[in-house]
Amino acid sequence: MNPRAVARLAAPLLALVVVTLLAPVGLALHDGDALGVFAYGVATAGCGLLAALLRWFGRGTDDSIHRKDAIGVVVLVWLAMSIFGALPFVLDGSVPTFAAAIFEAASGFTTSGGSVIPNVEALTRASNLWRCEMHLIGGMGIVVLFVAVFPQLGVGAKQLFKVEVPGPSSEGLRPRIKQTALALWWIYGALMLLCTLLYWLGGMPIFDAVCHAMSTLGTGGFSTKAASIGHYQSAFIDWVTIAFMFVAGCNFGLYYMALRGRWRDLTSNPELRFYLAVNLAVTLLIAWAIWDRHPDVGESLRYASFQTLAVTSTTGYMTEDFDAYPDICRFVLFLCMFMGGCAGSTAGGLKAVRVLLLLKAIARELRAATSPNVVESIKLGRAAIPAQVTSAVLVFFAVYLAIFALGSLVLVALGLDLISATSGTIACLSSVGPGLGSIGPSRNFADVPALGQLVLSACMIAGRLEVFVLLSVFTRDLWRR
Amino acid sequence: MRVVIVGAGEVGRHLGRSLQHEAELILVDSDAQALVVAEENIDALSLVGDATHRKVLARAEIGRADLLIAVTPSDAVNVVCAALARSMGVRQAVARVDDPDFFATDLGFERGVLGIDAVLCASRLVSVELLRMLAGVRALHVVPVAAGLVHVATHELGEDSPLVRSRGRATHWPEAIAAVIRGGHLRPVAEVEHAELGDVVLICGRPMTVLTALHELTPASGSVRTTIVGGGDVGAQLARLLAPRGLIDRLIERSRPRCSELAEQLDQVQILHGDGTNLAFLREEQVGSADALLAVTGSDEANLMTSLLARELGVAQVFALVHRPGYAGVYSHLGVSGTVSPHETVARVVHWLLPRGALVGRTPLEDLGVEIVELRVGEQAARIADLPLPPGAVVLAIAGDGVRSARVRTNISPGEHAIVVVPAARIELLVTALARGDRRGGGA
Repeated sequence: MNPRAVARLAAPLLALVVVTLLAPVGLALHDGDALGVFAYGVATAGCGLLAALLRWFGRGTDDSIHRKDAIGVVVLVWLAMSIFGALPFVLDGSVPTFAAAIFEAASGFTTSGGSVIPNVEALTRASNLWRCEMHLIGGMGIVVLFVAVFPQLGVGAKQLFKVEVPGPSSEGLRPRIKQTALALWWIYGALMLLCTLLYWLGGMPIFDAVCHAMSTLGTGGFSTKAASIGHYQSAFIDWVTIAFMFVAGCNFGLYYMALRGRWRDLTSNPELRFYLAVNLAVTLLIAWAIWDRHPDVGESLRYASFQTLAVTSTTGYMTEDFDAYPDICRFVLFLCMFMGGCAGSTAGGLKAVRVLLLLKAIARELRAATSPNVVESIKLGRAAIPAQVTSAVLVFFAVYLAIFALGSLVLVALGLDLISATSGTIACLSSVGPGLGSIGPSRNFADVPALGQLVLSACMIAGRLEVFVLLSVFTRDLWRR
Repeated sequence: MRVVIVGAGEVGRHLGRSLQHEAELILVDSDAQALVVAEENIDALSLVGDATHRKVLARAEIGRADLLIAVTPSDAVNVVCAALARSMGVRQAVARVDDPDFFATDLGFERGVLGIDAVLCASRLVSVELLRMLAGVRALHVVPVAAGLVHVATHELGEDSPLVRSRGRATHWPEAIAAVIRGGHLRPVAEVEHAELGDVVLICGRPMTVLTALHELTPASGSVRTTIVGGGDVGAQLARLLAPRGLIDRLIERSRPRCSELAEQLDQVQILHGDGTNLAFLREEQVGSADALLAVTGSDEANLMTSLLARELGVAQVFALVHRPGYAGVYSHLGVSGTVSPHETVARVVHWLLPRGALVGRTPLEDLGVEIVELRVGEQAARIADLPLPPGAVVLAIAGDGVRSARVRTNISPGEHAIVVVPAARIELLVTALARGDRRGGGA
């Protein structure tokens, strides 16, 4: 890794963060909120200063960027974003400690949605906008936005893009990476506008509608209301949210293909079918299990599908405390937290395609045990999956479990009970947000000790950047020049 | 512009790198690993698949593409894929075919075979480029025009020149000489009656014509002893071109069966069986006494070693074939006179084929105060007099399927290029006139 090359590329990326920070500054100015202007102004200035320093440090380096540099840039930017995103919460006094503020910002940018703020309705409008805006940016990714809006970056952009976009393989939609990034942001933006409009029609005030739309499409989960979407008690808003959570949990590349007239890609995609099947099965199970609470088919399905999608799309909204559901539901939802959404979506988790490949690998090994002479390859739809992809998926799964175990260990050591610790770790790693037990949907992460909050923040960033990117920072290889 | 490149080898990757800023690229290869390597530094959409399958071409949206370039290692794949792409609606298709026997002419470049716009023979184009290097030994400059199929050489007449010695009566200019620069003034050859010592002549024609003319103009440089190391496609073709004119001495090849084959095919060339990287062998065969040496085996390492040994033994001019991009720089550090590489040669031809304005190429020759310019003629046929040439410019030749000398009333048909030499002071006049013409649409 060449520190100067990293600095040169990280500088404009942070400048983009500065631009996004201007939105809450503007809103605070408009609302006459002096403290808000101060808090967000300081964060903007700080981030701008860092960008300028990096630019100065990286001056005079050439344009070439290697994979190691790309990893360095993305990790640096995500860490810096979390710090400067956290600053306003400390400065305006909405959270007590810096660790808690880091947690809040990391939760925002990684679109987890777990919060340390007990009563979000007491926050200023600027803070609420910023929380949801973090979801918007983190959902599609700051690097993807950067590649889309910045003039010619060429191949370097491609390296960066691959590091940030989730999924086992990031395939391009258009010949140029810039066009791909632009297409993704257009789709993302258009869906957000549509979602805002529907929320507004459903009776949400326009500010809430915008915030919730950003949160839904980014599969974040921050809400401007303490009771989340449950605040509105509206079937229409619930169904709109259910639909858009599903949409945000699917591969955005498929929407592009569909727009280009290739509808069959959408209907025949094995990952999407699998994701849909899992959601349907879990919804039906939960609807059956909560029948005694909602003895009406429509009601039962509405609550069941909402909580299911809130978990599988890793959004983490709620209309009802699923921690109070029967244990079978709690456990199934806990398992769903591992899977998350589809590759190429804004959702987190292992990704549906990896789970599907794991299941197929297991099935193949089982068949091989009984008939050792059979030769078969794992297929997704009609495409054979190369052996190294399958083994990469297996390793990914193992690493995911290892991080889950380590994170849980730290939380248990800090005094959390077993259920809260394990569910909290996976909820952060898969960027779901709320877990079970003492950090369930109706509670929050405020009572987790500071060290625990920092560990969980690291889990969130690791999960958002697909584990290996963050972990590779700890390899000596990356730092070698 | 949308360009589909089939084959992500050295040539494909080099083309991708050189085109990525002006075109949207789609890279197709049947080897997924090759695409991963290519993607490291090319901003392109990559597709895994066999490009001779219509399904794969359809996935690359070939109907919307402006150009398909097929450069896989297999001639058959390239031809089939380019012809298929043409039938599926690509605007232009280029295929690389390395077997020289596929071609009807010996230019290494043919248009319209099976509907393919251009079929390129990389080994032939490389040989032609090596001829240019050889010509450069006896000329001030040798400028490739018309994709390298035509060369323009400038040469200062010395005391040994037969033209200068024929003083007294009007000089009989060889046909290839088209213009003369005397005392800084450019004149068409028809207006110059007598050749004088120190005249700079401009020679324009096919590579072999230029090379032969240069040799005739410099008899005092003595006999020509060129040694070729490597009897592959490139070496054999060079030998075949140079031997009839007595411009080659020996060819060294490592494999005995191949030596026998070459001995059957070639006349007037001494075929030596031996290893060009073996110093004892080179000493024994007195390779050091050659005037020029061309290291053209299929191995970069062998070519490099042979070149260095030849320099060591005292060969003045050493030229080498370089297969991998990036090696060329190393050669110049080590004192090798010149290098030629297939990927650059193919890329130059592809760039030349791309639709551009009327001004196809320009090469300034600063020490002579002139510029060599290549002009494309628009959709309608035109006469030379209709070209917006500034005063003092001389049309050297018209290059199309052949090379013709030009007179004022000569017609130029669409698809032909005019090779013009323009005094450097007036070049801007031409550029502005052509830019105006491009805005109106059509060529010069």
